[in-house]
Amino acid sequence: MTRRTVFVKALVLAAFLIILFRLVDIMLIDHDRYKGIAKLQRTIGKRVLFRRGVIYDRNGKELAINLERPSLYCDPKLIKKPEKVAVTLTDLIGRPKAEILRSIRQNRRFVWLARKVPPRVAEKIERFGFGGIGILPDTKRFYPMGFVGAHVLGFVDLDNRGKEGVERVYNKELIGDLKNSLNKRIYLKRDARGNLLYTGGELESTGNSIVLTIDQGLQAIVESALDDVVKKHSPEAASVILMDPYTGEILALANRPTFDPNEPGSYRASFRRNRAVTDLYEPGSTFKIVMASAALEEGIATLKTKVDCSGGVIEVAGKKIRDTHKHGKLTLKEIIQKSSNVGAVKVALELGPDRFFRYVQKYGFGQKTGIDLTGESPGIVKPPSRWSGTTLAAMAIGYEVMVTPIQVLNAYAVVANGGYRVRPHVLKAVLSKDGQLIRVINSTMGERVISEKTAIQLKEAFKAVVSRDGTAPKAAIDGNTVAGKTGTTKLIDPKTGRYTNRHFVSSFVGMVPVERPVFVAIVVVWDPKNAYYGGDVAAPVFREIAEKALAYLSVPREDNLKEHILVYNLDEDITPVGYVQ
Amino acid sequence: MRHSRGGNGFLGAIIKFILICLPPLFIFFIIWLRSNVVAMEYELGKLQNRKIQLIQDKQELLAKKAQITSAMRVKYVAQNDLGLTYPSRQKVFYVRPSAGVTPYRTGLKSRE
Repeated sequence: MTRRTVFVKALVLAAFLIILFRLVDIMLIDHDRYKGIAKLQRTIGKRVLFRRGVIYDRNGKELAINLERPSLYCDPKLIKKPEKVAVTLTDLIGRPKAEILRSIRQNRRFVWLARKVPPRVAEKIERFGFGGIGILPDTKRFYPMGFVGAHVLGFVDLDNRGKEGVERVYNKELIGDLKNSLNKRIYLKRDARGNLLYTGGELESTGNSIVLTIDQGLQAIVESALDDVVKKHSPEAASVILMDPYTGEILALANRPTFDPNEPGSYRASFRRNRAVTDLYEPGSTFKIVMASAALEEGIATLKTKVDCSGGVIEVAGKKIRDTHKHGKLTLKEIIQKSSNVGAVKVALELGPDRFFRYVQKYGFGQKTGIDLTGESPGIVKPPSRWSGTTLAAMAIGYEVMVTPIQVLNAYAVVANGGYRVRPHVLKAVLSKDGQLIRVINSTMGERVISEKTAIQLKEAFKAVVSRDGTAPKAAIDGNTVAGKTGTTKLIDPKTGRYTNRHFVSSFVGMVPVERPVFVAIVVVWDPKNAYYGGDVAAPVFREIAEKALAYLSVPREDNLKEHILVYNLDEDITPVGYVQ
Repeated sequence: MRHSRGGNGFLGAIIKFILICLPPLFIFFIIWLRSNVVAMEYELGKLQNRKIQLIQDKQELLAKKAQITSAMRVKYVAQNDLGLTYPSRQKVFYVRPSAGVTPYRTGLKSRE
């Protein structure tokens, strides 16, 4: 072998040895590092897009849905030209340049630049290809009806967590499998150009949907009526609830002031408060339901029992309680009809504290109704051991007791359904993300509070309230029978700590049609201007709502039932099948 | 013997040919299979992206539909654009959903 041959052979051998050594280095010694680098090049980690379930009304109308709104973040250390980036982003995301620069110059590796931007904006930013600017898929909760039903629905925070209303109460249902949904990342294969390859994993996760008992149509009727009362009486606040008395299903619930759940941060906290379940007030004469029920149930009186209310004033423990108008002898029915305080006090005194208090508890005052909405208050009811000499008389006419509108409504539902307690609720069913029924809420009636006979008698008395001689003729509806009770209470002046004659709470709670009510409704107006009697302020609101709601629900006029009503059968040809005789 | 040797030679040639050709063919088959799988993965990746895009579009359309058909908007359009008014109850006639069922729509079961 020549020297040249030996040299070439040695060179080739050395080259192979170098390659072999490098291979050993890559495949055995530094294996893990290179494996990591290869994985980084071939895969991309993506956050799983998490969507809350949809909220539907009882007829399947969407009340809360999700919109794809990506979020923009930056890694300040990777941004080379902060000025240029800030100028470009200012126009696109609508944040001042100085603010963006402040974000970009932070000494962190992850800073949000804009949350939930429109997809078109995100696409434009992506096209600019700024290093250090990233886009994460995100969703924004959207309430297509705006402020309608806001207090029932509630709202979510920036991270899509329920903060109020059903969004909060049913957060778990709407999120679905919480552990596997939030902040989960999935790694996908990609090529050198960044094209993604399918790896079988789900890129998004959707929670269960829920169906509410709310009826969008009734809710709109209630909202309009509240807008009218605000225009007319400029009250401090107002609440309306419509409920099915047989099931406890809340058909509509609204408050004023209200807010748009799409922009909850733009409103004061007091606007977002669900006054219908959180705010306490002295119920006034609507509380006479307790006195009347107890008297009828305990056999103290019948509707025809006469009570002497002459003079229109009664003194209890040194305090005088007066009637608005002087009456002579009134029957129990007339005491309710004319809302006589003197008569109510006399009957309550006859009952005594223990029997009266038993019915306060039976109706659920002083306890939460259990409605599935946030912030429900149990109210304030003192036990007889803490009563003063005037408490029984005061409670008989709805003072010295604090209640929520939902509690009063729930008490009148007992009368409406024939004597049973119901649990008010807003959830009707839970659906899987594919729309399959997971759970249906069974609306069953609870324990009996009063006998059917008493319920019928009370309905008769409450029906008289809406007659021409009662306190709420303005709640009467053409064609259907209405039963209800007005309430007018003085508010306490915070400066003096005494009841004032200038500020009132006006309320009306009623049911329609009386024989088999389709709904019970309560209207509470806090500090109305121009008028203050429940019969003048709240009763007309009830009528406005009830008239439209009955038409909306296709409830026929009772006065026409025996006359001629054109009736179509939907399951047959669209020709009249005749007239109801 | 000669015949037999000749047969063995032919068989041997075939076996030799197969042994030489089979590994490259097998390798080509594996590569073809692998490239098909990757092509399929690309296709499925594209479809997955398309699905996400369609879901996004669906959400947007759903939002628009919900807004357009919301009771408040219907009321606004009916009253302000079309000049309609809420009908008097005398003018409403009642549609019976099916024979023997009352027209009430809320909480039917508990009423039975």
